[in-house]
Order: sequence, then C-alpha cells, then structure tokens
Amino acid sequence: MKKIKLIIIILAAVTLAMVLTGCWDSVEINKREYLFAVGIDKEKDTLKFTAEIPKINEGSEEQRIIYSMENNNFADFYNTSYLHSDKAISDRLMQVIVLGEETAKNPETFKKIFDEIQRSPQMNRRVKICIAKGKAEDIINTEIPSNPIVGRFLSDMLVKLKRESYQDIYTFDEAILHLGQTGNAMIPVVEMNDKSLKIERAAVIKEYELLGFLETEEVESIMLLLNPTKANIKNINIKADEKTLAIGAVDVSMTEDIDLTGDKLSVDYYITLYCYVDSFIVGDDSLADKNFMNKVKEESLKKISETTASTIDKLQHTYRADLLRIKDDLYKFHKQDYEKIMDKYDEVFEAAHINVHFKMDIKSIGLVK
Amino acid sequence: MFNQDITPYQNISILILVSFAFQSLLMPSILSEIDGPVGWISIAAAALLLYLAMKPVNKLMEKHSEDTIISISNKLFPKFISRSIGLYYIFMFLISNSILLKDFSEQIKLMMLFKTPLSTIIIAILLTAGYAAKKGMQTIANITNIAVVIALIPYLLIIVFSTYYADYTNILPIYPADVVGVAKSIPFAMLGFFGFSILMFSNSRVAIKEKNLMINKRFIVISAILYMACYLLIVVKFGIKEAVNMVWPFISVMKFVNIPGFFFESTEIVGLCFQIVVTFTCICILSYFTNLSMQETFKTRENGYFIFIQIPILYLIAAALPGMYMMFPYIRIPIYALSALNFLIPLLVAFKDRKKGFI
Repeated sequence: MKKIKLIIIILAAVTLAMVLTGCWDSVEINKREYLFAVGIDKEKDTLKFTAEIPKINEGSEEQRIIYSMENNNFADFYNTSYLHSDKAISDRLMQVIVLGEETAKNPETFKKIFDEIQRSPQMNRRVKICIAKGKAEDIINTEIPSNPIVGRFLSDMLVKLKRESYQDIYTFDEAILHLGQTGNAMIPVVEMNDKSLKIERAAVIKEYELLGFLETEEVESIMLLLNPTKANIKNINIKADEKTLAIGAVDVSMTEDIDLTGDKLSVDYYITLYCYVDSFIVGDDSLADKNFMNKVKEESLKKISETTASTIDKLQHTYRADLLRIKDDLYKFHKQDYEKIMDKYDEVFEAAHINVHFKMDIKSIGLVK
Repeated sequence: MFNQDITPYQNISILILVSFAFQSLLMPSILSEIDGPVGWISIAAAALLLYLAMKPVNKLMEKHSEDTIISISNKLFPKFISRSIGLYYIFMFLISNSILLKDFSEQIKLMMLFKTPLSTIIIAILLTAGYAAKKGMQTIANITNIAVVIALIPYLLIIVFSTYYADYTNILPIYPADVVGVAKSIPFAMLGFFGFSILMFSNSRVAIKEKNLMINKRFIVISAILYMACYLLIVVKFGIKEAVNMVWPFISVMKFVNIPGFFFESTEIVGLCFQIVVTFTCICILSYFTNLSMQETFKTRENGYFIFIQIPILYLIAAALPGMYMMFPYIRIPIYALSALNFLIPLLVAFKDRKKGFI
C-alpha cells in the first residue's frame, strides 16, 4: 500500500513538474526583438510608427534595424510587426517615445497615445518621452556616428538633463502626472543638430495639446522658479564699464509668497543668487573696486530679471499655461480660496501679478584677484 | 485531526497578512470616496473604533479562551440566533475569499499568464490552497510566518523603492478635509482590518492564550500603521487624481521600482510574485476559517472535509462575480453591511456575555 502511495506521489510530482513549468510559450532572448525607441507621427487618419531595434542578439551593439509602418494604435503596430518579422517583438526595454510635432498638436491623438501607454500592463511608465521638432521619424532615422542607437542616446541625454535640472520632465510617468494635476507640462524637445540630435528647448503642453516651444533661457528661468535648489543657471554674461565678464550662480535660495484674494492672484518669488566670477580680464584689478562690483550686480540682475519677466509674460499671455505649478500650490495650501476660482483659473492666471525679486551676492571672485 | 496550537506571533502574522490583502483590495475605494488625500483619517478613525471595541472583545475571548465566536454564541444565544451568526460568518468568509480570489487571478492573468483562461487560474489556486488548508492550522501558521518574512516585507520595501521621484506635498491639502467623504469611507477602512473577524476564531487556537490580549491590540496598531503608510505612499507617488484613476494602485506603483544596482526587466512582475505568496496564503487562511465556522455552525465531528466542499462554491462565486474594480459602483451598501456586522456581532456577543455574567 505504502509503495503504491509512493509511486502515485512520484508520478504526480513528475507530471506536475512537466505540466506546470509555465514556459510553454516562452521565447528565448535571441528570438526577441526589443524596441528601444518609437517615433509616432500623425498621418491623415492613421499614425506612423517608426521603431528602432538594436541588433543585440547578433553581438553588434552598435547596429540597428528600423521599422516604419502606418497603424491606428500601438496594439495594431505590435500585431503588424509580429507578422512582418521572424522574431517576437517586445517593448519591455523601450527607452524613449518620441512624439512628432503634428501628433502633439492634436489633443485627441495625444490623449489616445497616452491612454494606451498608461493602460498597457507591459509598457513601463518610466519610459522616457520627448517631442520632436518636425517629424519623429526623422529623429529616429538620424545616424549619430558616436552613438548609433538613437534610443540609447536620447535616454542617456534625458537622464542627464533631468539630473542636472535642465528639464522638468523626462519620463512618461512625470508627463501624465503633471498633465493630470495641473493640465500643463513642459516636455523636452528633440531636434536635429547637424549629424546628431540635441535637446535644448521644451514644448509647452496644455490639456494634451502642443501650444509652442520655450527657448533654452526660458526653460532655465522656469526651472529656477520650479526647483531653485537644483537649478542650473548658465553663465550670466554682462558688460560693466565697457568690460565683459561672466558670472556663474553656484547656489540659489528662494521663498515664495502666494496670495489669492477673490479673483486677484499675486505671486512673489524672492530669489537670492550666490555667485562666483567665472571670467574677467588678466591684469585688470577692477574686481577689488566696490563700485564696479555693484555695477556688475546691477547689470547681472537686470539681465536675469528681464529674461524671467519675459518668460512669465509668455506663459501668462501667449500660452496661458501655468508651468510654474501655482495652481497646484493653491490647491494644496489655499484650497478654500482656490475652489472659488477653479473653474476660471486660466483667466485668473492670465491676470495674475507674478513678480520675481532677485538679489545677488558675489561670494568669490575665483582663485585670482 | 488538526494540530491546532499556534504561537501568539504566528497569530499576529495571520491577522496582519489577511488584513493587508484586504487593505490593498479596498484601497481604491477609499481613494475615490474622498475628495482630497485625507483617506488616512478614515483609516485612523476605523483603527480607533476597532481598538476601543477590542476591550470588550478581549474580555470575552479571555473568558471563553477555548471557544470561537460561534461556539460562544451557541452558549449564549438561542439556537436560531447562534446559527444565524454562524451562517453569517460562513457567508462572509466565502464571499470575501471569492472576491480576493477573483481579483488576484485577474491580476495574474493581466500581468503574467496572458493566454491562460481565468477559470484555470482560479481552479489551480483553489486546489493548491485547499490542499494547504487541509493540512491544518499549524501548517497555515507556518506558511504565514514564512510569507511575512519572504514576501510581505520585501513587497513593502519594493513599494517604498517605487516612490522614487515622489512629490511629498501630495499629502496636502489636509484642511479643509472632506468630512462627509471621510465619514463615508470609514466602513471601507474598517473592512480592511479583516483580521478583526479572523481573531474571533484564531485566538482559540493560540497555545499561550494570556498573550492574546496584547497581540490583538498590537495587531490593530501595526495594521493601522501599515495601512496608512501604504495609503500615503500611493498618494505621494501618484497624487490623488491619478491614484483614483488606478485599478490596482499597488501593482501600478511597482512599475517605478528603482533599486540602485538592480536591473529588473519587468519590475511589476517581481512585486506581483511577492503578492502571489501573500494573497495565496490569505486564501489558505480564509479557507481554513471558513471550514472552522462551518464545522462549528453545523456541529460536525469530521472537520476537514468542508475545505473540499467550499472549493466548488468558491469557484462558482469567483466565476460569477465581476472584478472588484467593476463592482466598485455597486458595493457601497454591501460593504457598509459587512463592515457593520463584522464590528457589531462581536460587541453584541460580548454585551450578552457580560449581561449573563451579572445575572
């Protein structure tokens, strides 16, 4: 009896081990094609997907295949790709999604793409995202001599820009959270740069629609107001007493004061820049002169204030897009007052008094006098 | 037949683990019920109510240390009432277990076994859980202890790592709080402390019964902290608007795991693997206690076969029910009823016992 029981147990164990492996439809890595980057352009009624697949299975990391096809959505694209290749296509390692300019200008298409990414159990929400200046297809097709895999190039670049606080958003997750919370987002713009690509500007997105672009200095000004402690301000180049010099901010502190009385919104940012002198003239000892230094401060503040004021003006009157997340602050810290104006927030934001008060402290003139 | 002795710490593991499974199941309803990120107030209020209720319950359990709530009811109430209490617990355990089963199998299908029919997944879980439950209380308690160490703790750590790049101001605004929403969601939060119902049965199986009083209170505190921490982690990661949009916030948050030095091709699958262990253990626990309540209600001597009897019942309920997220618009009243009964029945029994004691 015991023997029979033992035989039954062994048979059951062997059968279960064979049946429940869960690997019946497994696909080995050399039979897979991993998408690294996908560009999406809007055609008349369809979307044109351009996908980049590195040839990682053949040991040639620097080579790639590019598929391009017109489909209605991501699901269609995967199904068609499956029929056009001997390998199984996978988006698990997707690095970057590039939306074409026309795609981003159409809110319905924009929402559909975002919804599909969000709904997909397979796609990682941390996939990086950017908007192409022009067609996304051209961006994916770019042959970069130093780093031929565009997905990897853009991914590394976006991570770097985010780490250094040059850009606000770099992943799909951040984009959808910002758009959900405030309705506005600033997404990096990728454009051609001779034989390579560059990310300098940012796209202004409001309610899933591309409204326009912000220049590098404008992005810098917004990042200064959004994240002053990490803000990365390039040199401030000025002219004082006919002498040119460059100043770099090494540390920034900021306080903000938001007041909402009825429909009147006023926001004051108080920023102190702690600077070093980066470049001057050998042999010139003007830096020891207090009056000269005051002039330097005055000119620098004038320059930085002008850029910031024009950026805020652009946000308020050209785009009516609150990229400064004042709306979010109002909701979190002044909920009662905010609820009274939430339906007409765009008008309130447009008429708001937003002032940035700069102060500068030159901490050091560098290693020489 | 069963070795029925468990240690107090195995008991607390069972209570916390079961509660955690229901807390993650009910989290979306708390998130969507309240305007703003103040669901943690509902959780704290629910925990306080249960903590206060624990005093009379503990006295009752101390007095009848060898009995479950059903056998105590048999002693205190007329047959009809005690049977009704027994039938209620059987019904409640069966429904809760099948909802858990359905939701869990849907998660597995959507994330892992895309081509496997849902019914196959449900049957596979049921048969395996049934086998484990048939092995007895001590086996389940051992599984639970192991599950807490190897699955629940890493699972929670993964959730913490998922909140990389989270915005901690998302926990605001606290004032003005949506008082009506908070009050309405207290029953949802209370049902999340499912261990409160389990302890009415598990306490009688603990070897050192003197420790039950402390363990029960400790369970409420630990479970409340866990519940609030998970709620806040979800809120700081997604913000309340996006969190409400999620079907399974606990699974979605896994997509952001960023552990320095580790590479996961699919992070949510790693989290789901831990969750499989946690939920599977809960299904075993619930199957065991359904069996126990059936045994005590119907006063049978043979005590293991109800586990097999409940398998087709659980399968049919799980197959018939839609997914939890599709039920949210319709489950408010059933949840209020279950929550109220789970809270009031032990108090009623304690009250009756006290009254009888005075007479």
